[in-house]
Amino acid sequence: MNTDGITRALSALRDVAGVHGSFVLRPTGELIGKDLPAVFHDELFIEVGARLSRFVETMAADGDEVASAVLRFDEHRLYVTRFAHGLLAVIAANDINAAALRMAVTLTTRRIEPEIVALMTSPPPPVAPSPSLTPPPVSVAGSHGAPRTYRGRVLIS
Amino acid sequence: MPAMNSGEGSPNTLRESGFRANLHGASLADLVQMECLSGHERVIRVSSGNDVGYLFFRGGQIVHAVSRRGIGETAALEILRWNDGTFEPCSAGWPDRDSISSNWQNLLILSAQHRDEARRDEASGHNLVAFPGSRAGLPRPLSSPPPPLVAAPPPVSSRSEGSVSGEASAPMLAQVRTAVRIDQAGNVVSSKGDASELSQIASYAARLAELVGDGLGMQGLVSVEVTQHRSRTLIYKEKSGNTFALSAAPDADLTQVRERLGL
Repeated sequence: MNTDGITRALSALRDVAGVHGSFVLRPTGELIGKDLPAVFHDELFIEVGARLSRFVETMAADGDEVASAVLRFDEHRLYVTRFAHGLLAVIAANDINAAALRMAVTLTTRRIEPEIVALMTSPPPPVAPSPSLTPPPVSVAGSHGAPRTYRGRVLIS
Repeated sequence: MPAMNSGEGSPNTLRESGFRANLHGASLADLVQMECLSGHERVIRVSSGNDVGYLFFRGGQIVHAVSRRGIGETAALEILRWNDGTFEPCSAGWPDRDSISSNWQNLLILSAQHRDEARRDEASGHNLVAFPGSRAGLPRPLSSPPPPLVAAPPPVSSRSEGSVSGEASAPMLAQVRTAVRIDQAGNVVSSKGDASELSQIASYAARLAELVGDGLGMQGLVSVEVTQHRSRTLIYKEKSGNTFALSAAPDADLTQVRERLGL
């Protein structure tokens, strides 16, 4: 699984009129994927993610886990749904059809959850050796103390 | 119980003939009923302790009311809650427009309900937290009675609260476990139940929600509603800057609260 798949799954939420975009965070607040206009760059979510994670943690301070939350602002709403491996947040207009959004969020969560699990459990990609660690190529010609060769044959001078 | 004078000498009634009465032990509801059934057009001054109010009768209805705290139905319901005092005609000036459209029967029923609720709330201690008033700071609507629990906000801009009638607020409150109003410095202004933890959670959560909104370009936090496994929490930012929070059972129907707050 890759984050493109998560982004594709998130884009389905836009089928609900009034959805401006969405993003997924790890429970600790790190951004996993997003389907948002470019103005919402990844660095933005370092703070937003951490604060949203703290928000959920705060609400669960008495031991009662958060299932979902709606943050209402003057012109927008932020719907937050907590699932086993993260938080799904949807930015929407105030006049959104909440019932339709709930259904869409349920389906999207179902779709992205296994992919996020796969993302979290997949082994890290192989690390290419750093150029600085690669031993310098042996110069064939002129190497001090080594016989000169041509196509595997030792040249006799 | 109000005493009643027919007010023979009042300017409004100088030309009227009839008996002059001094009635002890009557309820205000009885007197209002009598006045409405008479169909007279006149203004009645009702006083109770230091409170004074005026009821304007015309065509068998109460068409206008004034008290120190308001006009219209608000004033009528306030006056009708008074338990004793005097009830006498006077010459107060009539308004250009009537301010009450409800019929007198409805007003009496509403006032009786409000009185019952106020008594019940006093008995149960539920009157410690009033639900938030208008974010816009506008006067209460005409249908709003004065007691704290039923302080209804005005109708309704996109950001101001809707209105909840007094009779609707009692079941709404029954579902609330704890409630608290916190000022901007984090001091508890009023509370219902043990709200010390709720006040801390609500204060911090509201601040974090504001910051999350700022980060995403969403200004003006209005409210936060959180569904948890064992409870539901609603946090509401009042126009005054105070934060109002309540915690209810997970299956609580907060529709009325939301409607009241305009959410």
